[in-house]
Amino acid sequence: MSELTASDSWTGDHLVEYGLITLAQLDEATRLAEAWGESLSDVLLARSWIRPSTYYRSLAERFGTEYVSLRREAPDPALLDRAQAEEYIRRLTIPWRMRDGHVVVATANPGPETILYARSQWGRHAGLVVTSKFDIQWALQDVFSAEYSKRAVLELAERDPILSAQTVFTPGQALIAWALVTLTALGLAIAPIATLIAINAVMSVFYVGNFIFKGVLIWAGGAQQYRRSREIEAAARMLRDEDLPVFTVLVPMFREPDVLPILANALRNLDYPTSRLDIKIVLEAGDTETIDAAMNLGLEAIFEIIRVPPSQPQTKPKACNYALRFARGEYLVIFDAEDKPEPDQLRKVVAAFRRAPDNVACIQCRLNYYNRDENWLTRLFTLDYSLWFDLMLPGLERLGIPIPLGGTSNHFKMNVLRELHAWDPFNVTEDADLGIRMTQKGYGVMLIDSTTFEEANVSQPNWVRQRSRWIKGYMQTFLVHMRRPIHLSRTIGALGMLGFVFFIGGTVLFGLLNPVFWIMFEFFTVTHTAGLDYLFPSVLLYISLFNLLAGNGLFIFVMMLAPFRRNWLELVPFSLTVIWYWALMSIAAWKAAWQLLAKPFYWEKTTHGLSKQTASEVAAATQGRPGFVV
Amino acid sequence: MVIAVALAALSVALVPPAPRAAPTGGVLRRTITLADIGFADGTQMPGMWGTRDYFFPVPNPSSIRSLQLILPYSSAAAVSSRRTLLISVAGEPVYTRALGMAFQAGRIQIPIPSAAVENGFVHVHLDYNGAITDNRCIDQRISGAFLSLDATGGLAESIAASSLRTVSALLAAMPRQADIVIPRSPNEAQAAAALTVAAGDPAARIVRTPASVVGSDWRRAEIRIGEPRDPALSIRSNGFPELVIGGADPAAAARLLDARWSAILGAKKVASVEQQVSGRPADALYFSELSGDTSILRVVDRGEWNVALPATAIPTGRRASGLSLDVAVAEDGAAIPPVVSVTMNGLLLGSTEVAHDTRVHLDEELPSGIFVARNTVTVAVTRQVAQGNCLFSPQGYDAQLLPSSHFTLDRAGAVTDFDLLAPQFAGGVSVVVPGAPQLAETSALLQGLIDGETPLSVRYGGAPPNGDYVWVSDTEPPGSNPPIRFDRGTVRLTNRRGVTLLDADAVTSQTLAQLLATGNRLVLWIRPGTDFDTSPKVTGDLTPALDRGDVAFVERGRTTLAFSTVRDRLIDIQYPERFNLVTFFVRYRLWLIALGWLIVTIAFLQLLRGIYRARRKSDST
Repeated sequence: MSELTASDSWTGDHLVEYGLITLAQLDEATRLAEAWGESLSDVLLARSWIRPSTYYRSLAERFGTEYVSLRREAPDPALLDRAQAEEYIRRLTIPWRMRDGHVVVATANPGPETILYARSQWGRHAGLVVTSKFDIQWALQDVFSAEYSKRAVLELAERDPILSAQTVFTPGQALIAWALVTLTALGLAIAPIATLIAINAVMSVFYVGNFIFKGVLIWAGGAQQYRRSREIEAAARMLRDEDLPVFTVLVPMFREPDVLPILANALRNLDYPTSRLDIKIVLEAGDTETIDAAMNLGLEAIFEIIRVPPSQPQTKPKACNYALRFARGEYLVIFDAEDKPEPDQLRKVVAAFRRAPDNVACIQCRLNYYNRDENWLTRLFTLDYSLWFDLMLPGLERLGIPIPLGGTSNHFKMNVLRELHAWDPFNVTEDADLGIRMTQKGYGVMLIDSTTFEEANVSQPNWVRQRSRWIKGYMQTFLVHMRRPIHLSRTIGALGMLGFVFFIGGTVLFGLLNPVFWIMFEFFTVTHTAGLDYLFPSVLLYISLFNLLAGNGLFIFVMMLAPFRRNWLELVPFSLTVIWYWALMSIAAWKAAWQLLAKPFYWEKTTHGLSKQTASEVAAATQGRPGFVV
Repeated sequence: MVIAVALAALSVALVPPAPRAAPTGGVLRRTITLADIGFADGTQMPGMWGTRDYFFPVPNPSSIRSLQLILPYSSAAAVSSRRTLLISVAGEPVYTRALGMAFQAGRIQIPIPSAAVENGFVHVHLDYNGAITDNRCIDQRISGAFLSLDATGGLAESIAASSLRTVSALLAAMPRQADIVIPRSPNEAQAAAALTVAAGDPAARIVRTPASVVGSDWRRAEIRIGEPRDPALSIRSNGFPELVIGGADPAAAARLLDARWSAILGAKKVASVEQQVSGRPADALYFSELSGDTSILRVVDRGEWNVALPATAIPTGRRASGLSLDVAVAEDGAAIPPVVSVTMNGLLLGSTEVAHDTRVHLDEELPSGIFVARNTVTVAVTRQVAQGNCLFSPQGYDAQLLPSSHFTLDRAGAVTDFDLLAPQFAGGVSVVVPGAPQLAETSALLQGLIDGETPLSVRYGGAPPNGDYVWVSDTEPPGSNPPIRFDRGTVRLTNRRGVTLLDADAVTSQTLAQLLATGNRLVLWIRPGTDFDTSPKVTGDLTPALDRGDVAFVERGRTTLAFSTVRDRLIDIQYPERFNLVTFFVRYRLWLIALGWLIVTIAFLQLLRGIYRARRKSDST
């Protein structure tokens, strides 16, 4: 607990004197500021007890200086030093313009400390004007956007090119693929039957391996983690507000203005001091619709809008990389706009990090859907996610296999994130890639029992678009990390390698191969042809029958198990219809394969807000909220 | 093809009938051979011992002028032996001779008095005995001796032609092999009658004009298909007596003919006593009904009975699913019990030891695929002969295949092979032919699928409205989908490696039979080859042309290639002139693979180019 600075004390008295806040508000804000170790202005603005513009104008008046709007009177870029950008953000002070041969500094935090800082940086004659925190952030984005944008796109590709998906296929990979094709062509020419049998045998054995692996995974993941959950929960409850670090929350959005209120409401409902939240709404600069909607939403000052300059590739990870430049927190999490995390999630994450070994750099929370009963697709999607997050990922963790991270609710240590050059902007499943990269670099991922609920796709075409992006991302991830298979094996171990091949590679391969086998099976069933007999000598026939009956039966069975942990038993019968779900996945896989060749970095945008439940969530979230205040 | 058939028919019609000379002295010489009474391969008696009983039918002794037993024989022994042959007729010894060690062959000719005919049969008993030494430590059977009687031997009858005044007398006396003489333009009923008669006699020939005969040897009977105004069965004398089948429904008369022949000849065909089994259930076919040999054998080391099961003996809608055998084996006091075994078509089905004082009963299932058009079941009794003890010479003990032995019948399944058509046709079949010239060859092809009792009708063109039918035509039956088609250009058959088995010329020149299904009806489509109505029929060939498989190529009465489109994977039917994706891929496989590889290689090079271009671009920036 720390005492208010002299500036804050004076500022507080001034605001009360001018009737801008009440004494009770001042007392409360002082108490909170001292408890949280925050500035008084942050607390007042976080609680929306005073409009930002009123606050800063009064400050200017108090200090006998002018108030400027940096959006109307932009700072001179020549005066700004990129290397000092973080300091500018921390101190909320930037050099503005030259007047009479002296630098005039614009600050949102006038006071003795700022004056001393300005004089030490720009000379004893440096002038002072007051501006808002928002304007400083806005101005810095404007000035440094080009540089930050370039870093957001190219940092990983330049610093660690071998792990960047900017190169889709390396020459070595292309050569190996061509060699395999040539070998197959030779085999088909010389001994076609034997070659086809060999291909069939390899695929069938791979199927068997996948069934066995996933069976072991689910068995391992089924072990209850009650003890850890209880410990983390208890530790989270014991955390004092003043012990909590600043937590950066990134909310990347693109053309989805309607669903932002859901997340904004969810973040407000978080059991975490709002002044300790560093919330960045990450929007593309050209997405004026969403920017305007965000500004009209009446978001508190803790919600900072980051405008990402247009550049290619236009992807979510690039936007997050850009926003990372402005992040202040010790930890960072990404949420999608329609997400609803459990209120105590951030506390649990902090508690988990503090209890975990030092090499744990990421905490993955579980994802599930709040509109699971809306239609057949949402039910199957819920079963899919429940299986993934409640059984398979815990299994990966328990077996020490690298975990491909989920799309949201990944909580990172900021320093590790920056060390790893954050996300690969060229990978459309940047999260899965980061999970593997993290493990390769010696860091670990931990799972905790806290769920973020989001909107399940209600439309099958929309679902196919989304899934095709995920599968394309898995293809990219597989290609990137298999560039050095021996190195990968050494860093993640043999079991990790096996898991990577089956989990990442298998997901891709089976999506592509399933239709081939289904067509063969249907063709045989309908026509009773003997034309396929030569492809299935007796041993292979039994393996294939096992895959067909036992393997698929196993997956249907585990689908039935998936909702048990959450007691959603009404979903169990729907697992029997999973066959069409798998068919949709295959459609998505072939679309992904085509896109990998034609437009590998294209981000297939998923349309959110289609669910009827989302509409009601948005309506509830937006009731009574004023417009955006600056 | 049609024009050639028409010309052939015309040419036949223009040839006047050959005159037939009257038999010398009005006496017909007819030989009832061993083959006629069921010994198709004659008689072989290996070793030093054997007995045989023959019953030669003489149902009308009053027409007989003279009888003579003629038995061509051959004999030899490897070591010096004392062997004899004793022939008894009607229980009276009439002939005996010693058989030396050296090979000898000859003809035994024994005049038989008319009094030897008893109950319409002449009973001939052969007793073959011998010994090489009195030393009982030596197995007499290693002598390497044998006595064989040729199948052409038998009882030669001299019959007064004038005595054959009745149909029954003619039937009893006439040779079994017949020429079936059809009118110049037989109507459908007459054609059906011809086919029916031919079906009852594998050696029958359907002809326009009977063969000319010189002398008195009556080797082939003549059965003429008469006019509707003729009686159902009547006799006409055209030199040699001929049987005329006429009436409004000559086919029915033909079936009656077959039944009467069976009644006359069937009871004593192979010297066995027929057991009349009453109350026979529909799910059993007794050996006695098949004229199977169930006589008592004296078994020294091995004795066997052979029973033939033609597919035509199976009732409609049934199939042979198992065997139930009863064998009585006399107790021989040996420690090692005899063994009874049964084989069918050369495959061992089962065996069992003979327990003391019990009759042997064997129930065996017939495995799928064993059944053919003409099946042979062999039941054998094998004994361990007590020998080498120097006390007793090898002793034979009686064994008998009991008449209660039978085939068990079950509901017939899907008809997937030609031989399975026989039970199907037993309920009736229509034969659609373009004209009379095709009747002879059609009859030959249907051998084994129909018999003399099959309800059969003939149609000239146009499928019957219902029921199964045989379609003899160049074009496929209406509504069918044959495996080998002729509306897609040339056809050829290859094996899986592409080697041609039958080229286009062979496919079109040979007669092709295919088993088809149109709806729930079975159709046997016979596409005539180039020599369909002109090829000489192989007389007496008992081998059916259509047996296993559902596609068969036939040339001059013999199958050149037969296979099943359901089971066999080794034969491909190709239409070179018709575009077929699979054939296209198979034929141009190498080119297509090369093209695919080339495309991939070009794509690979483009990809490499793109990679290096991107690298150069990033290096420059």
